[in-house]
Amino acid sequence: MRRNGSESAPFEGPPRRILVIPLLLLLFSSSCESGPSNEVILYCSLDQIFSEKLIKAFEAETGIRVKAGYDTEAQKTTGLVNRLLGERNNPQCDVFWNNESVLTLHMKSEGILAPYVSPNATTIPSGFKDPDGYWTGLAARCRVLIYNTRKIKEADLPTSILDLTDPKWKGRFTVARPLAGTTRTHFAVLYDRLGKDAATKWFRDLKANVGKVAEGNARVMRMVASGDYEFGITDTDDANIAKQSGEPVDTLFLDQGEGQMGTLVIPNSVMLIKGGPNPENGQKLIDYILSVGVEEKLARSDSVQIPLHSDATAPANVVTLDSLRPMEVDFGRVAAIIEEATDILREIYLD
Amino acid sequence: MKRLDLATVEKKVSRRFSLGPLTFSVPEGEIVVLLGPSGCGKSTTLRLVSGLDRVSGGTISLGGQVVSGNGTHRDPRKRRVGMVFQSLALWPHMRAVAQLRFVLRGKGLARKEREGRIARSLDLVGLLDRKRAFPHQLSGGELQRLALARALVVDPEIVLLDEPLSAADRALRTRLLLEIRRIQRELRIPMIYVTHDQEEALALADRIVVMREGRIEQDGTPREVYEKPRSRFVASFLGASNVVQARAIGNGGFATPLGEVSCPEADGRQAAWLSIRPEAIEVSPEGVACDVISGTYRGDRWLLQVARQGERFQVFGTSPPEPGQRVGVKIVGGAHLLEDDASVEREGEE
Amino acid sequence: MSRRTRGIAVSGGVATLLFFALCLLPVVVMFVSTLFQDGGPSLEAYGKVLIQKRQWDLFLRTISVSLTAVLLSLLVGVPFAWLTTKSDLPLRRLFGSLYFIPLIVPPYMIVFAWDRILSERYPLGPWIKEAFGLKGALIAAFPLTSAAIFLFLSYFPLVILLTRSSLLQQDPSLEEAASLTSGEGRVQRGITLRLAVPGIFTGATFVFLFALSNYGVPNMAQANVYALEVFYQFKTAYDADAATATALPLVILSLVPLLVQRALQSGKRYSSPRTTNRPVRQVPLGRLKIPAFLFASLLILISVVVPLGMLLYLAGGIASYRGALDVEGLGAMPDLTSTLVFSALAASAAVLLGFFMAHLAARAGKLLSSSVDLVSILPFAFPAGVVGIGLVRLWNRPGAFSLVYTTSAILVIGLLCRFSPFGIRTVSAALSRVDPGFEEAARVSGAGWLRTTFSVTFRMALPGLACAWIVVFILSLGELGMSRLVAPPGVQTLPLRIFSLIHWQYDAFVAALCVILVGCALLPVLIFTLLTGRRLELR
Repeated sequence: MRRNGSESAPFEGPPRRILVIPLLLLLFSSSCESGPSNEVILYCSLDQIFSEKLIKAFEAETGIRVKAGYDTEAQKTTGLVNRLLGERNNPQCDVFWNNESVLTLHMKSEGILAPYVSPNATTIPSGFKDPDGYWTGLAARCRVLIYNTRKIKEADLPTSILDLTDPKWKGRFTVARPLAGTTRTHFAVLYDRLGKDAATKWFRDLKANVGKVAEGNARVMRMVASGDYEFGITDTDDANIAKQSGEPVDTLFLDQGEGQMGTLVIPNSVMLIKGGPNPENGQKLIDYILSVGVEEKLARSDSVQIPLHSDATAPANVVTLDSLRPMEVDFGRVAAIIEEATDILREIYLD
Repeated sequence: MKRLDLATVEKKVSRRFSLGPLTFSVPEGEIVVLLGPSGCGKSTTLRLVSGLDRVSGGTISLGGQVVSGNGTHRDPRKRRVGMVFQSLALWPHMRAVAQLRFVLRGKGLARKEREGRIARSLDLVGLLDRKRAFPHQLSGGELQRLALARALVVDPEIVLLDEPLSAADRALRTRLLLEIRRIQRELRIPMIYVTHDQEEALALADRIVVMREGRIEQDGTPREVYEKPRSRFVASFLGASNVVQARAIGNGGFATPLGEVSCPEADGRQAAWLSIRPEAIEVSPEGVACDVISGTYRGDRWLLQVARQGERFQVFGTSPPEPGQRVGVKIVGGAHLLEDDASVEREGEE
Repeated sequence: MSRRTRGIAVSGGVATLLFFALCLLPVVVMFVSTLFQDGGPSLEAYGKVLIQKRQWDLFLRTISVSLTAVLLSLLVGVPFAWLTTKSDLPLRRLFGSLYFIPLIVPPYMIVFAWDRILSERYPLGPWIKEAFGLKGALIAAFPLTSAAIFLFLSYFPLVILLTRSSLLQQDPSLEEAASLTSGEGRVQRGITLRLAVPGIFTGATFVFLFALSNYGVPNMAQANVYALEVFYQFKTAYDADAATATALPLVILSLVPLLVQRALQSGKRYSSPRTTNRPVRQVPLGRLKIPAFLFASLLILISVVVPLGMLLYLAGGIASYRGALDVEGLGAMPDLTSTLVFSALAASAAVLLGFFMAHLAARAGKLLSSSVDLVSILPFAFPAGVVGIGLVRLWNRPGAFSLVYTTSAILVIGLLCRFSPFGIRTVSAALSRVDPGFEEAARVSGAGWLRTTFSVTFRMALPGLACAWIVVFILSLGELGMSRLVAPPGVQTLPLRIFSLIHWQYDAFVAALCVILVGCALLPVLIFTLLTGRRLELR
């Protein structure tokens, strides 16, 4: 029956109601996430594929929900550090798991860390811990030369990182852009070691000589594995992935000879952020990360990180600290010059 | 100028509908109007003549030369056909002068001659001062004229017009009809004009070909078709008409519900279907009594629907109808025999 | 004001306000906040960045990559569109159904597939190197060219889509009239293709905007263009002002073709609506049939068959799929579900907003209608990175804002911001085809405003609305550039996950996840086509 002139009651109502639905859906989905507040916020610059499983195991063991910010590829550490610095007045993060150490020192000097000494840190050598307890090192990687076995033989390879500016290598190799990550650390260490002028010259010569400045160590590994370039400089975990997958690659540690500077060893570091939302859970997470079991898992994983705990056992394919010549580095000094070095690097390597 | 002949032209349009066989001619310098309801195949016929579609059977000849059928099909380009489409098909991105220029391209004309032809064509339709306008800037009437100019500028051997005035209002239509007629008379180009409007047909044509469901119902001059329709369909399509079944009463006279009427051509038949135009009957106190059903005002007079003996008739009257009114109707003119028994029988079955 | 007018005005107004707040405000805030340095208004931040020479090198590089992609798309797309709609090309219906697939596959996956195919493991790479006398890397050695080519391969279907749509809408009598006096070549050139110019230009504009905005391809090809620079400034250097200043030329560059396209589209010089139901006029190809067929086949082969085939091949058996999703394996299942949910939410919101906005625009006065129209297409000009930065700058504040900033809400808003214009446009087109007479009829018979709107208008426009939903859904599924900037800790989408894996050697898993993503995108398209028998349209 039609009711002339009158509106049909069941469908009355201000039209606004309909629009509230998507809003409600949004809020609903977001509230689904915040849930109970037994959580901890982690920023992690160790690649997700290595760290995620361990984090999930922590969640299963303790029931604490970990909201992890990873970020992909090349700029993770730098980006995350900058984000932590940017958030200093309103910290969003509890724990930072850094895949290197220089920026950790930088953050300590910026005052955004809170000290915490984990009971699991006792068997870590003191050289890899902060004396004031602001950070603890674990699971190290090394810088390494990765080469394509089909394109070049080991005997023909350069033996020092400084050789790379030799014209005979022109266009034949690749290096990651030294504006972030372990590559930046590596170049900053060289800057500290060689002095400003020699280092700047070396940076420029290298840029002119390199075949490709890659966006990250993993890409260096990819391009060498696929034969785009004969060799490249990357981290041991990246190189190992390629080896594990059966790619025609092998690795060589540079500067191992007598009198040479040795290869750079870069430990992970983990720290508590000052003023974070869940400090107790943060401490529990740090304890977990620093446990021997985690280091052993990292050693056994594709990332073949070198355990630092003296009581950790590592499988055969993991290089141990005594089997290679590590570089002597004062990370504190490097942390002090890293901004200066980065400015110079930015000028040369940012096109 | 050449003569156009269609001989038993057939075209299979769809599984259920096929056109033809059609046979008619367009003599030199004449306008033939294809008249019929929508879907009767008149536009299709036009497309066959233009060469846009191919025939399935029969032949189309221009000046004695076969252009369609018998294994040949001459491209539209080679037929020198000017066509005005129902939608006018004016290219929206071209100015008036550009439209004409486009159709003249590739004809090997010198620039001067080409521009001259364009100017003449536009002048002929009275659009010379609007030559730089785009279609969206032109009025309805101007668009029609531009379409016509475009069709004429190629110096065609035949001009085809597909219901070009269907979108125009009455006043515009009358004006344009006269324009078209004037131009055609001036240029003496044979023309086929397709329409469903009998007024246009009667006003314009030298010959009318009435079509229905893909077949020709009647082919004749306007007077012939109007005054002597061969079938009920033609009779009703051209003007109002009264169709009655009449009994012979001898000497060419026949008895109808409205009285007696003379129809010499039907002499000899016992019974016949006759067509009596409303103009041949009038309201008169001396006529037979009929009940008035309704009436339509025509501006100058009324067309009344009256009933008698269960049949309805149409007659002109001068005063508006009133319900329950009775009028006297008297036959004053003649009747015409609807010869086409087949169509009449078809009507009878309906 | 009648109740109905009020209903339309209010709902449309609220929708427009929401649209403004969610989709436009972030970018406005972003640009405005950079204008204020140290508490006072200043152009310093902009000046500092824009003065650098390398900014202009960057600008030129970016434009040349995008324009090359556009040019290639036109060169290939227009002929293909013509062949599949207006010619008697064999298998043209098949070609016509397959060509849009590159749009569904996220571009960085196309790069991934080709990168693997061209590696030394398979013969194609070395063969190309030998044929062209190249040594060393293929993609890595020619980053800009590679980026242009892959952007072309990802987005050329946009040109085809819009050109086809344009060609199919033309009144065949226009061509017929021309064919009375001109050869087919001139007819096609002078009439058919000329009238399709607005559609072609729209397609080209879309390709340009997408190419400009895309992050995944330059990242994979290691091509240094704006998208990467903006990302670097914001995420690595954490310099929001520098990122914003860098983004400014980008946005201006995007607005220009957009406004030109709008003018073209509404011009009366091209409108030629169909008056008959006669089918599209077909042109016989004759001798050109074989080369045309080869061309079309080659295009489909290179853009669809090869990349998809490679992904399927790399994925291998069911083990990879299971491994990728399983908790024991990569554990990407939650990422997949999140992505599906976010995309569905964004699509629904876009359609709802679009419906009310378009309804308002359709029934309101000219001025209001064209303002709403203009406002709704503005987000087209915002590249993914810009949207991301804007969102973070707007929502990264203490208090209630963190409800959005730290949760997936900000991601969904970002998807809405990026893709709602597509939804709104498609909804507009669908609504414009609904005769207002139907609404009037419903009203006159006593139905209230809401009932009329939903039972009549909404229902009648439903296929078009479904189209819009599917388009926004598919685009959201593959979104990367904005997500990377905006996704808070604990929130990850499938594209982000794939992207983080792509450089490691987990090819089988990456390929499996890619295939799953493409499958999820194709599914609604298949359902739609099966249910309605129509093709997806984009206007």
